[in-house]
Amino acid sequence: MVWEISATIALPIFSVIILVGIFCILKFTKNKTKNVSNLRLFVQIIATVAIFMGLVLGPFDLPRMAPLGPSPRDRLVGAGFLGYQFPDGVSVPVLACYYANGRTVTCPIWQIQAYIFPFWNFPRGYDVFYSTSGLEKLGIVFALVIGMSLILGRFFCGWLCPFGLYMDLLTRVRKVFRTRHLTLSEKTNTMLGQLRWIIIAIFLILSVIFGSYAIFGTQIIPGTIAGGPLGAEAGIVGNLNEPFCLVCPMRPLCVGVLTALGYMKWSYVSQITYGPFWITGFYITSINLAVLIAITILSLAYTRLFCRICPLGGLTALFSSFTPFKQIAVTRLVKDEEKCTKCGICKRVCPTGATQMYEKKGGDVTESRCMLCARCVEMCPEKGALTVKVAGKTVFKSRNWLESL
Amino acid sequence: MITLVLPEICYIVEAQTETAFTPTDKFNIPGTSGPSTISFSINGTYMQASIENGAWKFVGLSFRNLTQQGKLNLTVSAQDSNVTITSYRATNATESGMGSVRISYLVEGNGTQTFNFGVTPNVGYWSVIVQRVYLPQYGGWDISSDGKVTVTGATSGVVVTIMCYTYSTSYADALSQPFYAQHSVILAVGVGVFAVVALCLVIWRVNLRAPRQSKVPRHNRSLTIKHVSMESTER
Repeated sequence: MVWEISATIALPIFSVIILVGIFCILKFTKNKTKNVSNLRLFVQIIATVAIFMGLVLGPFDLPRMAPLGPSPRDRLVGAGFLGYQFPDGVSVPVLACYYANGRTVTCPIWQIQAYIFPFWNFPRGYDVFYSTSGLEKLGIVFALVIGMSLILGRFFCGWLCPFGLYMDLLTRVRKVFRTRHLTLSEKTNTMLGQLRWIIIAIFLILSVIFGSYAIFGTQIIPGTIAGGPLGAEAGIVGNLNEPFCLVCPMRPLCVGVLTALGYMKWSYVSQITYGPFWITGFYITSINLAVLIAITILSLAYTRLFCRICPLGGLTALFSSFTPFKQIAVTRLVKDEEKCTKCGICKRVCPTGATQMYEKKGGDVTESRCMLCARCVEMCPEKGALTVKVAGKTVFKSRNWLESL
Repeated sequence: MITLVLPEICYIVEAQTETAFTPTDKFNIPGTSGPSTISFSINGTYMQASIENGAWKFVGLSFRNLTQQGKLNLTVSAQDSNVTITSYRATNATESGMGSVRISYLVEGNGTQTFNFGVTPNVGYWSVIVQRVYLPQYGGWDISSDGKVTVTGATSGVVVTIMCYTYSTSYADALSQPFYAQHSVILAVGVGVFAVVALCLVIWRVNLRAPRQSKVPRHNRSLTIKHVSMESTER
């Protein structure tokens, strides 16, 4: 029997849980250095549930993922209102993997790649129809990302991204064993930060090369004619389109979770994964499985390692931390130099190794590596030295937590 | 006395005979370098078959054990090549799902083949696949405005599939909407982003003015200005 939970029942319950959860955390967390961290963890969990709402709402007992028939990823919750113009879901700059059931929003990196190749000016996507051109779809994605980045910056990475939650949970696992995290040198950290732009450039260039026939009328690589499901029959889908998704660690994580929950059959997923590493599958590839394992192991030692090279974080940073966007970005981390005692706690506790809040002499210290997690603000022992401001208004500022000890 | 005269209604059904064909039947097309043939690897029937302008026109074509919606009217021709039609499949578009028309054939000889299912180019997306490789339009195949698909890129001994995915009915309706309705999402998003940028600019301007109206005592002003200038040099 196919059944599902009605959104009209689930959403009020969901809202009440959020409000009660936030109230409890703010009211009952006694340790002031964990107040924001606990709140952030709660928000991350809620955001992950909201992003993959279909896993909670159902429908349950649908035919499970199979080469034929309905697949979990075909379920989009609350995204159909954009119709044929933008049927894959609203772009929100978090790793809301396309390859998961019932997502409410979609990863812009997937959309950017897919709308260049294979769906540039192509009417049929993965079980959806497009009435808009590739350029128009890309325009919508970029407009949404720019708008959201201007308002919230990399807040999405720090507070909403499901993969960020995964890495934070790994950090909590490490803390259970009372092991200190390792620190990358400033030079290495800067290089990793620069790697983001290289990754963005590579996947964009590859997508354009693959989509060259549809875009320019010249097929640079044979077999890269526009069209996904049709292309699948020619054996090109798993190998060429959405190049970043082939290495993205979020995809096997999603598939793994879906498999564990019984939404996907491991026998099918694993069939494609076995074999030489360059053989890639539709739902999971050997390459991104290897990347996930590597990131998982390394994230036990280094905090938020993938966020330092994440191209989606880079894209968000591009539209919030660099001129001309930087000047008008709404959410900022601000430092009061007069109150700073240069203790260096902010620099040591930053999960992504950002340093401007320590090194810069006051003012706006938001940088491209900063994901506005507010860990530095929470840990800063000088009252008002660091502040998170939204539209010039202080929403959270550092307090002298040493006094309460 | 009222007399009702009921007109006599006659249903006239034109009797049409179906002719069966088998894989052994060949339909020859005369050509300059010898005749080309059309044949079928499956059994079926047709109501009428005639050759017009070097092309075989089959009316009421029906294949045994294959999925098809109604009978097919097919015009097929070949030059310097022989065509053996191996499969045919047609499904109708629904409200939410697309339909498809698909025909596969084995070709012998390096020539040209033309097919016309009576499906016009603008009702769906057309593809031609040779040995599981998609041929680019104009680079191996083309379609005319009346739906005639001409395949030139097939070599001898390969299986060619001509496929047309016909749009769902609701999708076809969406395409016939006025411009603003067809592009409402990007228009709305564009307006939204413009509003966000405008709002950000306003907030930026307000925040720029704020330090000038600060409550810093006059004797500390120089210090504040000094700090601001240091900041600006760093940026």
